[in-house]
Amino acid sequence: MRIIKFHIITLLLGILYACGEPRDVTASDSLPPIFPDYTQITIPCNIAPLNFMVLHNPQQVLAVFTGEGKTVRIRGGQNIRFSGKKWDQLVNSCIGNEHISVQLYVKKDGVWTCYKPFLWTVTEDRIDPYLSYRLIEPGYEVWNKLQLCERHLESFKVRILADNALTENSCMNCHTYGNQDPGTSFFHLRGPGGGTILNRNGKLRKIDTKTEGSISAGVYGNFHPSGRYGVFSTNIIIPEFHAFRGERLEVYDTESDLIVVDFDHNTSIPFPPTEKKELRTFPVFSADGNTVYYCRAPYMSALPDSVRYLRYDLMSISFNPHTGMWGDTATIDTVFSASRHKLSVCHPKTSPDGRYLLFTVAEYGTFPIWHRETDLYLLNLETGSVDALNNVNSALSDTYHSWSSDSRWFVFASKRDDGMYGKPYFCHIDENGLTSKPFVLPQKDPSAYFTTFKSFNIPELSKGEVPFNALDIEKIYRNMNKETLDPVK
Amino acid sequence: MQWITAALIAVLCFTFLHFLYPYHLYLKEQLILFLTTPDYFLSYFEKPAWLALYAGDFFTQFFYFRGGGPTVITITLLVLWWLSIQTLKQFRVAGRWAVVASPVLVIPEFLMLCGLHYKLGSTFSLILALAAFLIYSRLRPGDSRLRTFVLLLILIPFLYWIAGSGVFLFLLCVIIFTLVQKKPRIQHLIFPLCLALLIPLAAKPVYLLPAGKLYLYPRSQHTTLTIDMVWEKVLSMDSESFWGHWDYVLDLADKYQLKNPVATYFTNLALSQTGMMPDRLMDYYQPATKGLFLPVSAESTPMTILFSNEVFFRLGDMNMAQHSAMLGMIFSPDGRSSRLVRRLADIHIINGEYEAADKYLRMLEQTLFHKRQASVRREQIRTGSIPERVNIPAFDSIRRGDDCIASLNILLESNPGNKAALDYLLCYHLLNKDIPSFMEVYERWIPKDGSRVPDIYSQAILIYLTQHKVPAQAVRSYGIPDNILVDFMDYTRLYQENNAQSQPLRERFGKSYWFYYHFAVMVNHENN
Repeated sequence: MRIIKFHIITLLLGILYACGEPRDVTASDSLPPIFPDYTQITIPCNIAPLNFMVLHNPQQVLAVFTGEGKTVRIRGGQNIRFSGKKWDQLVNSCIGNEHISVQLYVKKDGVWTCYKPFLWTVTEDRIDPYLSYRLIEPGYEVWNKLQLCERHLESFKVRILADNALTENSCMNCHTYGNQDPGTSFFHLRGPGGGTILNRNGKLRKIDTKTEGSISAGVYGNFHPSGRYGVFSTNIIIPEFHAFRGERLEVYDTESDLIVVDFDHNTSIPFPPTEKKELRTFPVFSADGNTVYYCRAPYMSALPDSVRYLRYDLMSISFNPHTGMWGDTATIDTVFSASRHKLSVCHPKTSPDGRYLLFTVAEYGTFPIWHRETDLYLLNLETGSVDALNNVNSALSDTYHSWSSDSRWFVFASKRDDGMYGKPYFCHIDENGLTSKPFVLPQKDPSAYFTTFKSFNIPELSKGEVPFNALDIEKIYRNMNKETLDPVK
Repeated sequence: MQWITAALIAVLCFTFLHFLYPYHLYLKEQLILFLTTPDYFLSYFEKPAWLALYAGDFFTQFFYFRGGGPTVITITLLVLWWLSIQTLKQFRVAGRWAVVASPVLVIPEFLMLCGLHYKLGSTFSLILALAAFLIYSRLRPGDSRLRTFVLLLILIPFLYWIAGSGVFLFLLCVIIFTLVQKKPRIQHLIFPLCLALLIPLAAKPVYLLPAGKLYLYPRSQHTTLTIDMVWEKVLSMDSESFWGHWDYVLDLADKYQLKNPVATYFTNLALSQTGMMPDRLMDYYQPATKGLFLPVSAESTPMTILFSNEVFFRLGDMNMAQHSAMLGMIFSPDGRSSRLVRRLADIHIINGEYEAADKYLRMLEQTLFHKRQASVRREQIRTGSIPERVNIPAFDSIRRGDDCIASLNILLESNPGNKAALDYLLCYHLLNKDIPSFMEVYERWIPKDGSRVPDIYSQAILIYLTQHKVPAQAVRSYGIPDNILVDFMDYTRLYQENNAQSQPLRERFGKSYWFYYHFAVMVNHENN
């Protein structure tokens, strides 16, 4: 009986101890070594639980999360993983720019260390609940397994939108939305049954965007706000390899131009002729649909030797959405002369509210994902000021960005963790244009990023689920005839 | 009788795999990466046959050890054989006939396991199927129609989930079992047949596989029923090269004398690493430059892509090695290979890209048997002792993925002391029969300091000097050994006397560069 009492008391003491903070703790004034780096970040109130792990092989971890009148304690061997209920309670207690304080106790070599606490600021600005991306190994010329995926950001559910195992291992490019609307999207599917797969309100079409006289089929593209037009670059793309460590792949265009495609009338409208031959790529419509932004570089014949001098400026040209015609070349304007700063612009993306243009800047060329120096810049279209986003960018590549539908968030692919594998990072931008420290897409198992061989390519946010799946794409690939476009002279 | 047969087969199987066929099994282990993480375990649920494949890959890890592969395969086949005997008993086949019939599954499985593309998990899928059938038959469902249907309704989807195409072996057993009953019921044939055929199709939205693969999985379309002893020899050279046993690779090359570009690729690599390339290049079969670099293109096989990083890694071109290794990983059966993860970790350590190396080392640390390699590399990072770094490019340049000449030039300009790269560049031109380019490289990088000129280079220089009618005085400045000069005169005389016929020259000069230059036929060879 005495023995039983002893065990019960020991058990109760153990439970009490387990519920409280550890004793004999050494205080540290540094932030805890956690992965992903979720210290001092701003998060949307509808994001999935931010599970994380403590690095350097701890024996035991205790995390204490304190919100507004709500405290959550989670213990783990190395990982801190929330249950959905605990996470919801914690986040809901702090909506409205309130903070969650995170205090971490780590036991290693028998000694507990209490690290400097860090904050999560919970904003009311909800993030669009779906994210699409392409999963691909960071190989270059050759591919094997490709998938387009859609992740529900409020949970850990992932849906496959297209899988090249079902389309004869054909290459497929990333998925692009119009206005983050799941009913307006496209992606290019290569191979004999391929084409540009257009989704307009769930009706899927397959279009051959290559026309007589065009350089290629459409490559980089964007939707007009009306959904009726798409603007595409047509490119001859050459991949080559750097020799020096840290550098990898260089992809450049020997020729490139722009077309507007009218999806209602199946026509392709080429860019108006200019005096000098130019390279034009990465076109996007403005939020009002009356302008096309694009990147322009002078034509170079001595490539790849001169590739380090291949620098693109950010340009604009007017567009008439009523006629579907490009404006006169007199309306071409230089929006940001990157070449003057010995830089090159890629991937401009207009915010849906029309206030900003977010773009990538590298030292040269058109393939920033493999340029370590690549950073995001934010152009305020109302004031003309350019923000180099120092609190967003890292020492490694940050690019392939897209906006949320309310222009309060953007997502981008960053190689900041290992220089090889791109991961989606989310960044909040407040009403004054101030950005916060970005955070990576949370995973159920926080170590998942360590064991994957895939990059998350060109992440794009969307307001809802896209109305198709991988089996629909297989049917289109195998059974649907391609629509063709008539070039407008 | 049965057990004597089994013991005999087991001894034969083990002996063959252990002594005559070990390198296939080493490579099979290198083509998987088995992690002990929950996330990795869950990844098996993305496709059918998760249990068969997980168990198969778990045991394939043990192929890492000498004797591990033969032991695992022998035991696996013994289990399959024993289950076959038990299954045959249910069909009322026993005694001598059971002994005769039992290898029907075992022998093809053995032959398929001898192929590189056949996974141990495929055999496990058959084991699970037979085990499921034995459970089914022991429950004697034939006595009750309802019980039969319920059992099949549970077993067939469950079996497809854990064993994939093994379900069709189960189906076959159920059909035979039904037919050998005294009063076979037709419903007992049609119901499981329809169920087994429909389940894979019904699973398509979950597994996202094309119809053909849904019915075959986890079996590969590339499965063969042959024992490839030539390829075993090539793989022996590959494995020994990977482990850096260069002298042994040359011993193997001498022993086998294979006329195979991949074998030549490893032979040339071993020659270069032992400094014998310019003397012994012509001792071996040389399919022009295809024995120096393995092409990586849409036409390449997964195996040649896997091997292609080796030469770049040894010469010092880490970016090309990384590119090739990454492609090798992409085309390995499951897109993850322990060998290539090790290689990628090494490449990033040599390049000083420690964050990327850390990712791969973390993976190795999650394995049972490669974690020791990871700790060796962690120590290397800590001490900073990375001798291979001396050969990596010191400046940047841009080149095509298949421009080997540019790659070698970059290495030489970065480190003129990179003798392996110099030999590769000179031999590349020689094997292309491009004497002017050879001389250009030779004049630029090899000083006329009186050191011994290797035989093959001497022979090539003489061709150049003869073609350019260089006076004898100038010939002497190249320091060509007298015996080569004498041989050259003999060769020229014989060549002219025999009206450019190869046969009279073959015996004495068959391994000279002159013979290659005159008589090697360049087939489908593009310059670079």
